[in-house]
Amino acid sequence: MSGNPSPNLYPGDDRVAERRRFILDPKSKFEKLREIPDEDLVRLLGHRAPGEKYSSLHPSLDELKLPEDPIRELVEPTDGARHGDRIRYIQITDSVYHSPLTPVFRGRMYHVRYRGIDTITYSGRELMEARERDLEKYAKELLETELFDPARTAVRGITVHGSALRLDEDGLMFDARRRYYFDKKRGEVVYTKDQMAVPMDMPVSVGKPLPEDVLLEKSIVYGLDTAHYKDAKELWEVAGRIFEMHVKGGLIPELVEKKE
Amino acid sequence: MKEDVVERLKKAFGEEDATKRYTKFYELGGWQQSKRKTEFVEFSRKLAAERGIVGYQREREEGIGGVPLGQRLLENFNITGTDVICEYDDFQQINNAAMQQMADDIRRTAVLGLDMPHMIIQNRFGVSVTPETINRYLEVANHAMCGGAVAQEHMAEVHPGLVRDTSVKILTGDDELAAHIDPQFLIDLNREYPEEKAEKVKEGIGKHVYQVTRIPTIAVRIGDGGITRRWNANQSALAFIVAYKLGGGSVLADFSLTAKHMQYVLLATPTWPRRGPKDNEPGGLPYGYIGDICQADALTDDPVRYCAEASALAGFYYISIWVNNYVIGGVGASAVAYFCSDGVLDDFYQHVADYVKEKYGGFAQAKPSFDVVRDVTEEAVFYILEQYNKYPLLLESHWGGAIRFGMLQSTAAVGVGLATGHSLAAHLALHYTQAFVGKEAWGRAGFGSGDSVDHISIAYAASVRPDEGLVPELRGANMPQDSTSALIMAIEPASVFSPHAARGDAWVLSPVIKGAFADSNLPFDFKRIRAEIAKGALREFMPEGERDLIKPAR
Repeated sequence: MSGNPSPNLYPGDDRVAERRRFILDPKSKFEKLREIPDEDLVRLLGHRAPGEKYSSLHPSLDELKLPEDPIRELVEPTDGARHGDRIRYIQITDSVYHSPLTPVFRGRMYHVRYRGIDTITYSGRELMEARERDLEKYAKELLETELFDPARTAVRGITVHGSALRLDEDGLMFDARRRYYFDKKRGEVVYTKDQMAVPMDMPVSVGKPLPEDVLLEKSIVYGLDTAHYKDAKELWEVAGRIFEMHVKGGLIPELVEKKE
Repeated sequence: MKEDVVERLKKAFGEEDATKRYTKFYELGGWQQSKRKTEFVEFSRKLAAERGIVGYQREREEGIGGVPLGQRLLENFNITGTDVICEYDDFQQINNAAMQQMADDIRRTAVLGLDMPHMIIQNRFGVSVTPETINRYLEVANHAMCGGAVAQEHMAEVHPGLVRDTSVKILTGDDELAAHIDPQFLIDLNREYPEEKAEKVKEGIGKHVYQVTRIPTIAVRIGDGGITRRWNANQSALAFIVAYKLGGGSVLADFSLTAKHMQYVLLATPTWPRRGPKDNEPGGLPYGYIGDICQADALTDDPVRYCAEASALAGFYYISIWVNNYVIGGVGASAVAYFCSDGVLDDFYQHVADYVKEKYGGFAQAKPSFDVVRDVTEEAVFYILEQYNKYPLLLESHWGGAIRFGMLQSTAAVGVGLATGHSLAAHLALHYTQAFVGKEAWGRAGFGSGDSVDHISIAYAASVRPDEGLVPELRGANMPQDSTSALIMAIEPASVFSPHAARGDAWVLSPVIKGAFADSNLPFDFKRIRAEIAKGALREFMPEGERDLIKPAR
């Protein structure tokens, strides 16, 4: 980890809370663990063929004569928006067995880290939509860094089931579509199908699974093998206070005590 | 978890060790490991030949580009409280006749107060109403309700065999009157309930007289729940006219309005137009009625067992019938299967009940407060999450966030309900669980945006403004925020029936609805919800509304 994230990002002094703060800090630099060539990333996403030009929904913003709008002056368009790219998606499933991220924290992290995205949180997966070249840029960080474990994290646009299932004998998260396998010789996880489970013209390696101790050290999940639920006292105090204030505020706003 | 629950899980998965984190997938036989799916495939092949058009084709997974099923183990389910082992497909609402009858028995129920019609015919027509005339009326009404003509000539009548499940009965808290009603026409509360409970329900109903009608199942199957009120109104009015020899113009019109509508007890309100159904359908049934319709408390004074049965009813009614069949349609994950299988939810309920008894000195002993809500919620949630940590087999069984949050929220609500006897406190616990405790513990939601309803409900909980807050007993799947969720209506009733059970109440929202479903002659036995669903899973449940009498054998 690097830097010293603000304590206001997340409550608590245990290692799970500390890691959550690191994830949620937009300034955090995530450790790069593997190299996934651009063409392989494009294959995995399955939105265009490697080398194929980006499709556009509209001409470049620079070429368009748009009505005056003060918001446009304030907000710098993302690269994808400037070029009129299509909106595309990446969906990532996180195993309960300590995938480095979880859907809720993906959602929160995506919001503070990536511009021009839409996202939705489920129990096992997180969908992100963005302009195509922005998406590829964000996906690169999501797959190449410590945010991704090849065995416990998976790219799945469809048939996402598996996050809560036991792991297979190679330690991989279950995937009914068998998009990937464990190459025992290389010790790497190799995708043969893209995120929509369409077979790819060539396999894509996403690298070696992280050791269990590393996953546990970086886990952002409370539980019996990380930090115990009951010990996260500050978290439950803060959560309980927000909860109480919401009930009181919904009934009579004046009931909410104001702290200077 | 208790050892027997772990053993049942191991048996369901055919595993020796429930704590193992690794297993084998992909070589388990695919869909063919399921007897049901194998049956479906064979049946569908024959059908395709007969119909000349293909339908279900599980055997052509590659060809139809669908998901290959059975790459993981398709485990069996032991329905809690029974010896029945069944498959997941047996919980699909189309495959389970008991589940259908459960909903049909609710949607075909009409409850009509008779005090006002009796008053009108006495005051306006000068006719005496006595137990004898009531018995005569009931005889006529039972004939009319079955589709028999009573006033009009040259009517097309209904084959009695098609409407064999139809009845008109009297419900009253007046023992003296009840003693004079022909037993075939009486819902006898003294017989249906233990003495103390019967006294409480009768006291709640008072001296009032209600007519409880079950229109034919086949009628609601051709129409919908909206026909129940009209069928009952039309045939009751005709029966009154004949039984009491009523005639005339404006006076009869006055009476007709009274008899049909003035004292009608609406079971479920119509839903908003986008959802479609009229009244008496699941979308409009208040959560409080779930606890009343469930009759398990006639068999046990253990609040935990009653809560588990009522949770099963809420699950099947709101998830299988409402969400899966009305709101979505087609295939759907039957999360409710997990509410009533392998003894798991019962174990969770029992744990939190024991905690409440030990910490607060019994049920309904704690004064409702944010501290109690937080304390019991945390105990419930942390206990369950620990079980998921200890037993990967349990976690695999509860494979989706909606299932797990169903367990967490329902148990937290039951725990706080039992501790405080206060439905608003339990309701808050339910929403606090997903909005904060469960979500922050694991960093996972229930399902897509699953906690939006919880955050909204927390802020609206105490406000009691129309369309925002409502006392928990009166809330329902038709409320704007609840209607957006695929799960919440199945678990919210837990925050309502548990506090009333803790207080030893004989009913939750209405003694009339409680009594109306005490009728032992109903095809679906509301005293044994899970056992009835199990019969449906085994294909041993005999539903009503069949058309055998008017069709050739297939």
